[in-house]
Amino acid sequence: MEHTFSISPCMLAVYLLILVVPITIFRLLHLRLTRSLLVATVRMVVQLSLVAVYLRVIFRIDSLLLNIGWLCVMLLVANLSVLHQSGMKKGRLLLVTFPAYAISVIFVLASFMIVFPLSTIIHARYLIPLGGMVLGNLLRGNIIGFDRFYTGLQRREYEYIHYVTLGATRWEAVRPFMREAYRAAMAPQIAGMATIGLVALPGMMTGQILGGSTPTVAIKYQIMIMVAIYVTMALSVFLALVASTWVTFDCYGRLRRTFFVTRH
Amino acid sequence: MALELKNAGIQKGGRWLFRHTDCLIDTGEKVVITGPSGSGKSTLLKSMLLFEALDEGSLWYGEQQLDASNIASYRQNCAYIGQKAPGFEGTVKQFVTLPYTFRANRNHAPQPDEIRRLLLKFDFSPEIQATQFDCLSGGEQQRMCIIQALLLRRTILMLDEITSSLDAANSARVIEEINQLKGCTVIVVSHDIQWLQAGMRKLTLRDGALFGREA
Repeated sequence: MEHTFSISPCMLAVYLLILVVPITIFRLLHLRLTRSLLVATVRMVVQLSLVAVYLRVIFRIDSLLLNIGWLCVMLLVANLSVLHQSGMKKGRLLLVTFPAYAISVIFVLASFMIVFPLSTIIHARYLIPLGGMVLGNLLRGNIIGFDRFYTGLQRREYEYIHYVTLGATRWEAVRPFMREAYRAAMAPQIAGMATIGLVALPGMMTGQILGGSTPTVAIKYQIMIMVAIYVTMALSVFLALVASTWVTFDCYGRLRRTFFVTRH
Repeated sequence: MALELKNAGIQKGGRWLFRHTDCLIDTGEKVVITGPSGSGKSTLLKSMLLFEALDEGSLWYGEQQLDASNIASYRQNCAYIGQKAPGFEGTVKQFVTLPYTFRANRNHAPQPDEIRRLLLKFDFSPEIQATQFDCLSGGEQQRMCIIQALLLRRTILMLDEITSSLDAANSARVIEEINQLKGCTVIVVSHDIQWLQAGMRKLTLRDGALFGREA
């Protein structure tokens, strides 16, 4: 395999100019998204540049404690992002959802020991990218899950009250809402798994091939990471939603509306 | 037992929806709460289950003031039905027996005869039990909710605008059937003229006060 071609920073900067295409379309549609797109692009460039610097340091030092610390930071950022994007206030909710996400990620990282020896998985080169992939993908499903669950409960409060007065416990009364939210969170992931390779080449596989791995090695990693992502999402959405209900309901079984930022 | 709000008040967004409100509803009484949109009728009804927190005053059931310690057992006497029946995937029979899948009711499953009797009472053929619940009309679904509550022997029915999405004929049928229920306290929130003409005690919530409270 050839060595990966290194992109020059100047050429990369020039490449970003193709963003003029979506910006032109926004203008045509009088859609006020240009500013958000530019801010997002700048954030992406700055964040990834910083990550490149951090990762070089982390890979060079390669200490297990530092790797775990880095994973914890990613976990916290992912958690804050889920709560923020699904319109929830942090505070006490963070205290119950953080352990839910931590358990899910630890479980899946531990499952990698089925295919890797422990001495390999604890290296930054494996732990950080695999952990990062799993966490990055956990976001979408959890945002959908939280949003659907709490929007449903607020919009159809009468259904919840109906079940409670028929003798349902809180768990029994929220279960239909949870089922709905869970389905919405998990179904796209199943569809994604079913069409992978047909519609698009997955990111990890592409990255590995560009990085010099053979396609055979790349697909084995891809299959493993897809399953890992799915299991993390399944576990984290479920645990986080269940854990969230411990604080979002008061002792009368009422939904505490103080937890919602942008509900209508 | 009688249900009573004493000096109750709820505020939303810095404004009192209602305040200094006393309301006594006797066992078996049928009451319709009416008032302009946004006056807080539904909030008042939910406060009678403490699903809306009272900012002042208290709720009593018989001699007992209701709070977190006894609210669950009080709610076991009530059934709350909203504007729409809950979405449900399954047959009518599965819907009316849904409460018996809850831990609290697991050992109290109704006899098939009891279900048939109630279905006939509400003018349904017993064969309807095999129909998918989501194939029923809105009015039929609402009546199934009432059957569900009666099977559980709920003695207080709280009905929040349950006929608002029904046509006049269906509304009339639901109202007539509810009006004929014996021994059941019924509290209805509605501004539908048909309820107001149904011979129930009428309470009007307007400008933060409840009028017509005498039985």
